[in-house]
Amino acid sequence: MLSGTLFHKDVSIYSLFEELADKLNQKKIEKRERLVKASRDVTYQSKKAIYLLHRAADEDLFSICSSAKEQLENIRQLICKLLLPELSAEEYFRFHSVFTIALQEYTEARLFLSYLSEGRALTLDEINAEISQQWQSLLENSEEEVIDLVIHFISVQDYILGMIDVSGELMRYCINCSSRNESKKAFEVESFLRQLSAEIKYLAVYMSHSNDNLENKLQAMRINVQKVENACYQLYVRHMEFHSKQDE
Amino acid sequence: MESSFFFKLNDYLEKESQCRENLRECRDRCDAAVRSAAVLVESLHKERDLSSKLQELYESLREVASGFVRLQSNVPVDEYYKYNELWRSSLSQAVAVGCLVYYLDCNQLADIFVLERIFCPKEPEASSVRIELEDYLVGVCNLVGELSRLSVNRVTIGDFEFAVKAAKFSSEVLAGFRLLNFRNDYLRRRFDGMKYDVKKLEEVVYDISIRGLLK
Repeated sequence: MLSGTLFHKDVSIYSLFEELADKLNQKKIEKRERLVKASRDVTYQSKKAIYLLHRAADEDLFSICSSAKEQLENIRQLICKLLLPELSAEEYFRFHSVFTIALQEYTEARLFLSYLSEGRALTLDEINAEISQQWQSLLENSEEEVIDLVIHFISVQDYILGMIDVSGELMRYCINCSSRNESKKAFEVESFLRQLSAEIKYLAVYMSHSNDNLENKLQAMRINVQKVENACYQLYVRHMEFHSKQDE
Repeated sequence: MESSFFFKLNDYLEKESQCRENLRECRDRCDAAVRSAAVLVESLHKERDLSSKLQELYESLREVASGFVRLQSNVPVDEYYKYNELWRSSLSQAVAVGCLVYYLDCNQLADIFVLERIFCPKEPEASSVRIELEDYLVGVCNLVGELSRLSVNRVTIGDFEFAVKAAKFSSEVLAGFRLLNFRNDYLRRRFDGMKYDVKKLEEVVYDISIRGLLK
């Protein structure tokens, strides 16, 4: 018995492809385009929040942080309105490469804020909990259960890559502080960043397969840590020199 | 920072990398099965009676399919797309062989549904190999490449009819592909290569027809 003949259908190649073209357009390409657009918005807004936060080095920290908080809440709205409704649990990984940059950027902004306002990095669960909250507040029927997809919307990889990126922002912040001679803040950043980078290097061992860019990012992080260490070294040396001259 | 939190992340990443390792092993076994099916296909190039090999080919495809079913059943729920890069090219190879066998058997292009039935004729639909549209299309590109080689070799053993039929079939497939919208990705590049295969098939027909070898 030849199995093939059992399913013999008389469909022309042309009409088969017409059908496939429809599937390809609706399910894959159009959805991808929408996600690309939404991700671009999220990335752009996150970058804006980061720029805002950099002004915290020379303006009022508290007021900057509170307006950044608002911006980040708006970004969470974008995520909940534009990204989340497009995705089913399975499609999440199908399109993950499209929106991972946006989630990393958001994570970066959120972590930067949490460092400036609380002096620590939020955990992944905390960051995701905020998104779940936002999602829930948008649901018309608040009884509805928050699905797993929402609870884990930012993946471990997104989080770690966002964390690597935040080292760049912390470096800039530290340099700003040191140039304004705020050595206490600068030293705080230094110790925080060193701890962060040690943890990340450890985690990165298991991540090598999932991101081609990882090596470059880690390299950038190493450079950032070094810059911060040098800045703090200079601060320290200057201080010591200043004090010893005063003592004479 | 709390280190227990980092342990948790570490735990997650470690599990994920184990899962990937396990899937990779399954994939390598699939590859071996695909290769032995490819060896059978190789024998078609000089076989006078094509239909004599079909039964064996169908059986080898089932062997291939059972590997893929096992592979895909090891993927955690909802994480198909997280890992499918691992087996895409192997699966496309299997699709190409499946399409070739079905073409030789029924003279038609197998669609995804037909392939699923060929791969696992006894199982209910849901438990067959899962073939993504993109993987299927790459497989069809491979099929046309294989046909262009086969056509040349069939001519050298005196089978002129095959060349004519394969050229017509392939140009229809090429026309079908033109209906699709591509992104600028791997599939697009494979499709770009297809026209050279079709050209080759047409040249073979040209060569045999100007020499009056066609009846």
